[in-house]
Amino acid sequence: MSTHTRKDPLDLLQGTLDLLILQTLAFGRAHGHAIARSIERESEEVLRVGHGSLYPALQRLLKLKLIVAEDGVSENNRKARFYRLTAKGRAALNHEATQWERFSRAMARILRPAPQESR
Amino acid sequence: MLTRWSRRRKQLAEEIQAHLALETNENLEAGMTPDEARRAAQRRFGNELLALERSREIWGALWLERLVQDVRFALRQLRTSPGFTVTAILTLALGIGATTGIFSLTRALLLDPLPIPDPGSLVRISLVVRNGGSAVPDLPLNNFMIASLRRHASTLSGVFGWCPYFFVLQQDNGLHTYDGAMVSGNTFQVLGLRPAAGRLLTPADNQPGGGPDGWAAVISYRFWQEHFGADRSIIGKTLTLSDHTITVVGVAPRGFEGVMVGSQPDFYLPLEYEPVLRGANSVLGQRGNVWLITWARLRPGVSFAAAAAQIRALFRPVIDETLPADVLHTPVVEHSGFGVDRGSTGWSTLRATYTRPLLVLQILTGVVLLVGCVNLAGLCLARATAREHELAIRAALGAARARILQQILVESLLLACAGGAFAVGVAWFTDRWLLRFLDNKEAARALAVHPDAALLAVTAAGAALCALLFGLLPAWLASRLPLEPALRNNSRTLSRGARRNFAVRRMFLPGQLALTLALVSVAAMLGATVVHLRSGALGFRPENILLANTDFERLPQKGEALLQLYRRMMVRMQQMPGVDHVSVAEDTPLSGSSHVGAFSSDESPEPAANPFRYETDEVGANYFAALGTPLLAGRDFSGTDADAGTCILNRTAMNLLFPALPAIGRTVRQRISSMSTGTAYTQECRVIAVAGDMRYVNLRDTPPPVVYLPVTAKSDHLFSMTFVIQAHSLADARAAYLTALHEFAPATPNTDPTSLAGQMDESMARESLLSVLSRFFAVLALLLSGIGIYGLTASWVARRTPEIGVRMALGATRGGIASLVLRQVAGLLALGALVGLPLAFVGGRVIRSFLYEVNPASPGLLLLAVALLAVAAVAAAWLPARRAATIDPVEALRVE
Repeated sequence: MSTHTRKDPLDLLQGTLDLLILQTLAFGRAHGHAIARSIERESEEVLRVGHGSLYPALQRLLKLKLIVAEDGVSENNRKARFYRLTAKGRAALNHEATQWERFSRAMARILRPAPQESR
Repeated sequence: MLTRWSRRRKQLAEEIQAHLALETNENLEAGMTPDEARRAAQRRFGNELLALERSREIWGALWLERLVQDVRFALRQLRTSPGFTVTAILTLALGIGATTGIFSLTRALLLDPLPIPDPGSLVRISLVVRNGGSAVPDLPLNNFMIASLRRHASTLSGVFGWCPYFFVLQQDNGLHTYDGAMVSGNTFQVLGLRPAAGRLLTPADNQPGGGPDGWAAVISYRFWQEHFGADRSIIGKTLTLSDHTITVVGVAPRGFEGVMVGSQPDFYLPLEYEPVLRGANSVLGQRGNVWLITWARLRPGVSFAAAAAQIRALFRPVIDETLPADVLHTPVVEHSGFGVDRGSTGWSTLRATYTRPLLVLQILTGVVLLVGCVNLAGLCLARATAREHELAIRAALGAARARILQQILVESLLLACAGGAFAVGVAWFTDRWLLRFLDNKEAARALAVHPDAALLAVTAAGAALCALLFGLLPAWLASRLPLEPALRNNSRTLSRGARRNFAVRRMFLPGQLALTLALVSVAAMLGATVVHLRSGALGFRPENILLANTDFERLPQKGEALLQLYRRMMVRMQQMPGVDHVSVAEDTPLSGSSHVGAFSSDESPEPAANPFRYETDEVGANYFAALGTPLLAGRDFSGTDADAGTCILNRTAMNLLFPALPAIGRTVRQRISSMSTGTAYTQECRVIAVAGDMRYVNLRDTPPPVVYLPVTAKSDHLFSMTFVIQAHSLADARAAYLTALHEFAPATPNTDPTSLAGQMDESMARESLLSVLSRFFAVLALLLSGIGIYGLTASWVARRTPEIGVRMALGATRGGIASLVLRQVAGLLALGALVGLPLAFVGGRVIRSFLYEVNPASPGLLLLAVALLAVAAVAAAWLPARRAATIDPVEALRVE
């Protein structure tokens, strides 16, 4: 999903951010600011994303054709660009979400092993 | 694409602003003050510019946009400093242009392969005749030797002979001479060519009396186009060539110009045509005569070295089979052999003469270009110093070192491109000038043939290389600036970077001066050579003497009748206004060709080692008078039959043949070996006069001993002599010749007469060429060095302005300050001279074969070169020195 193939810490963050954006857009179209706010709100302020790093991520997703952009009018009557998922994006979201779930279950099992039968 | 990106950029910027506006609004609603709200929004967002840049990175092809940015910026920078820009472009244009101009001639003469399949397997076989101490290479063979080689040389798959010849074609508008060749029957097969129309010659055409189509001839593609409009109906038609009927059987492929570089043969005929053409003068049947340039192809899989070894080893078997017995056992033949050379580039007489001069010229242009690039590097460094502040800010703002490097390099590349574009024009002019100077048809054809695309490619490559040369170092140095000192806004104390730049420039300059000194010395040496050659004692007076070759081979008159024709023509020419003396000769001085003979007398028998050490010439009456050579004793030839059995010696010959007693009246014996029959006989003649010595074969050698014989009806080359006409002006002489020719031999083709002065100039054409061009390059290098000195001195004065102010305040005079400046230059000059003098000496040694009576280590010459350089240096430093001397100390000391 990420445009880079290497896996380094920054990369993981990028991949994660991409997934969060896709998920947010699954509920309908939104502009940049709304996406940022939504991520913060839904994660109960655990995930704070620098708003500036949102925009490169959006460009990356646009390039991969997972989302498309269209012009619209925002809440305060200013011109804004709205993003929404494509069919490809939706498929990618499902795939990545499944992967992520599997990953987190595996992590949980390792980090909190079932109590061993002992003594 | 660029507009799309800038649109997207704007779009994104707007989007980000909208984002910030929303965030600010929310903050306002949350109760912050407008200021706080905005700041909080910006903090929350992070670095806007970074967001924009990283988004831009994702769009891809960032490098292109950056490149365009750099180009625009570089153009702006160059426009603001026109002096630098013009200097740089001019330097590059002249340097690159001259280099590629000479390179195109070099390539045309030396490098281009023949347009045949697999030229690499073609070899040229020649005779090397060793006579005493000297060796004469590149002599032709004959058809007997070729037949013998075909039988014995297993490493060769085909051998053929080529004899260049001029044919006279009968056309509607008269007689015209065309270049052509007589070739072996298998020539075109060995060369591997296919006809453009009809067929090419085969061994079946090469029979005595003609082949199945009579005398078959192949014409060139060019001739076919120009004279027959590429109409195929010419195949099978007959033409009248040199008074004989030939049949056109085919057309050679397009672009094939024979194997002799620079000539454009239009007719190819078989070798057996030669006796028909030349009648009694035919050499085809003479076993001892050599006249065929020989080529061969290596068998597939055979290396050049193996074939060359076999051919050289075959020398004795071949000549045992072919040469007449009498010639076979002479010492000359004993020591001779075959020479084998690669034939892929054909053969060129011009190449033999001009290879080394062209290489020398190429080196000289390379040196000038180097000096130019070093100069430019210094200038670029100066600019980099001036831009230090700006570059430091860029680095502080986050520009990568590579990015700064790229930006400065783009500027160099732009200059190089502009310089390269003008260089093409300079190269074109250089070539035209070279052609006019060489005034040689072969050179003209060689240069005209070339496609300019290759020249452009070479120019572009040269420009790119130069850009790297002069741009890389300054760019690299500039990108490694330590930031903090450069950011300090204090133009008085120079940063370490600027000081280092200046030191580098100071280091460059002596090197430049050394190269310039070497160039100036070489130019001086070559100039002195030309002066010596021209002013040396010639032994004759070259002014106003016209030399007109004759081509009377096809006239009906032969022998005695032909001799009378000459005499009548000479009488007629003598009568014309303005003509002083008319004579005729077989060879003229400095023509490049001569004949040798074996002479002896009672006192001086023929030496065994080198019997052919005398030059011999057949001349008519008044020859010496026409040339202005004094007769030291005796009387001239009379121009009548009473001359039979007499001869005239020059002073050197007299000293050799008759060292003790006077020569007049004594007998000289000549041993003549007939090339055709192989027998030898002795001919005697009585000495009737002694003439002064003259420069004979070339201007360098001391006058050789010459025995002059009278022109008789039995002379070998009676059909091709040279009229020597001395008149009040060349125009008078020319008019006389044309009148006589028209009256007595109107059917002969007009060979273009030359002047003796022109022939003399041509004999030193190489040296003249080198002298003129090296002088031009020396002046160019002096100019460039001057610019370098000016730039450096100006920088130095600018740097030391406060110090100068202090000095003046303390009482230094204007003269003192000026001399301070000049002392700096003198120091660099001394260093440059120290390195340059050995270089000049080495340069002189390299070109010593072109020098004449010039010592490369001559102190006078080197001193002259140093003096010239010093004058240029002082002239260049004068303006900055004057400026330094007129500094107002108050201004200088004022702190900004």
